[in-house]
Amino acid sequence: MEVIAEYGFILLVVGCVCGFFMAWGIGANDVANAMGTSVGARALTLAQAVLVACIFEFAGAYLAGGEVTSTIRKGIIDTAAITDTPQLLVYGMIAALLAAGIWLLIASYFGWPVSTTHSIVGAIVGFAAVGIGVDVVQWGKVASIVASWVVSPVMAGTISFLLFTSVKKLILQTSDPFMSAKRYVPFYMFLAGFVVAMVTFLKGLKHVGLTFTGTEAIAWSLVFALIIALVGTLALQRIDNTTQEKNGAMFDGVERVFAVLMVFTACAMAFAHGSNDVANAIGPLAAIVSVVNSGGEIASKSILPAWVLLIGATGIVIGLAMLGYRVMMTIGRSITELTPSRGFAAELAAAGTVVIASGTGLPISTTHTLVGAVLGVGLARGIGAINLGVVGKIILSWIVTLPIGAGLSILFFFALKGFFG
Amino acid sequence: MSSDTFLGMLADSPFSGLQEHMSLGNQATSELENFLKAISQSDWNTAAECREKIVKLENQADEIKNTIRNNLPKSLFMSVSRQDLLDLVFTMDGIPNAAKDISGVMIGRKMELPKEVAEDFMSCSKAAIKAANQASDAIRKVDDMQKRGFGSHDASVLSELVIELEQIEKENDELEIALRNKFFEHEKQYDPVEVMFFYDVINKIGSLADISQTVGHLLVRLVSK
Repeated sequence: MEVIAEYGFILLVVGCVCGFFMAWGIGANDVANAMGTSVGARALTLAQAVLVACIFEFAGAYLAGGEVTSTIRKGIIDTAAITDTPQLLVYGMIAALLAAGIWLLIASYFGWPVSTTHSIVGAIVGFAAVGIGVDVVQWGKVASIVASWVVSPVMAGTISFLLFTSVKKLILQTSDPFMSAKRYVPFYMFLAGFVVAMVTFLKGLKHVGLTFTGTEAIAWSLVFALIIALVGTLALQRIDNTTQEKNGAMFDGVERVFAVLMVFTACAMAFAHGSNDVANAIGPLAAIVSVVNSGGEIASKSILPAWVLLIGATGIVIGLAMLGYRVMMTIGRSITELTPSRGFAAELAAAGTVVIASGTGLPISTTHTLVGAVLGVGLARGIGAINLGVVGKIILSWIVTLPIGAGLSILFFFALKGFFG
Repeated sequence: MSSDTFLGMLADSPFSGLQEHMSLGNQATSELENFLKAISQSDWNTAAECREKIVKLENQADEIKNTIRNNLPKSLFMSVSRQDLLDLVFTMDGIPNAAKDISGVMIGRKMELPKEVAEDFMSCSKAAIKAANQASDAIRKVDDMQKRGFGSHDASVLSELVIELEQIEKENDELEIALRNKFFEHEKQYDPVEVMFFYDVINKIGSLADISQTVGHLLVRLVSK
């Protein structure tokens, strides 16, 4: 208790800096993965992608980021077991943020694809199990998180497979694909709008003080999705059936219709990413803030202060503006096989999966969900060739990240403990 | 910062190489047509020029074939079967090869077409070349089909093309039989060695049509996974 009273402010500032650093890292690196599909498919220009990311990452983090934040903050560690030594939780969360942030920086420097989610979860479990005691880790919850890492790519893959198969049946394989595209694409827009709205209305808005019942949420989501579909239909009016150049690639009428759809799914993707990944930075920070503000009490019911979410959302946007756009630029230059008709299916499947996970409070990796979604399109014979070697490398980096995140955070935990006592 | 994003999992599509190879094969067969026309007029200079072009095209096609083969590791997950694709490329490669073989034998032996069957020979060759062109057309369509993600519509388009291809091959067969029968009546008056090589050329032209037909069948297999 004395430690918190004496060093509370310093610890809070250190926590904020580390949380901001982590959010910055997510913005610099991870957002590029979420937006890369749209940029790679030439549906958005670089500037448009950055703009969409800024607005919708922020909205997702602020409106729907609460559930995952509370999982990271108090779902992994059983806080009841450490009420006598709350400073340990503060050290640990700072250590976890530092460990994950530094690992993210190292991995980015060498170009290894790592997951921010895996590094932060590994780091929290690491310091808690080794630094405090194996019993304080809620292994049941950890197991369900790890299971969600397997389930989420599979689910995204299944959805994207079904989406692209339906696109083939309803649009691409008809005698007049262009007319079919104009007819059916608004339904996909409706779908994208509905999933995002549903999760936001059901789970997200209660963190900003609005609660809806299930029926109300469905009704509002339907209204929102209808508006989206209507706006989309109006946007489609301008598309004619000619092959035109768009952002450096030639597209026929059908793909240009899908490119409009992809603007919507890109927004959904940015929103989903913000809602899930912002928690990696501000979940630990929220834990620190609640301990310090209550003067050493580990309050499990305290409200998440809005400014904490703001630090995370701002960090992501600044990271994106400083470095993230460069990563996207390299994606934009490379020619990918992911045309808008494929990209939207992968993006919508991943965004849907991530946003549902956000609503359930499960921290999952956006990148791995996207990998699963792209494989799903490939299984539906939508992609010429997928390099499974690269997929293997991504999966390996995910497994390696856990012990490294844990090891680093244990190191920082004991250093902080030695320093502050 | 990293430039290595998950989009690195998207490998270069093997279909662009397929199109390139197809276009070279197509050029080789149209050069073969010019070559045969020159031969029938005993224009050896033009024939030699055509032959040179065919050899060059065949070499380029070989290079592309090797590139495709070398860039198809087992870890590649494709929208078509790897084996089907390799079979197709190797069979397609038979088209420029056949053009090279036919022109090689004819120019090497300074082969004059027997007057009695010259016309029949030309129409038989034209049918074989037409079959090769039809096969190229079918391959060109695969690129579009890949863009549509391969489906029932593509399968029906392709099967129509293949039915046409089969008809052309049959036509070539009939012309070949007629040509053999006609030449059989005149062969005694020619040098036996010349006769032997003329039959060899007829065989090679027949195989050009056969290869083209096989390409069509392999395409159906490729698309209907």
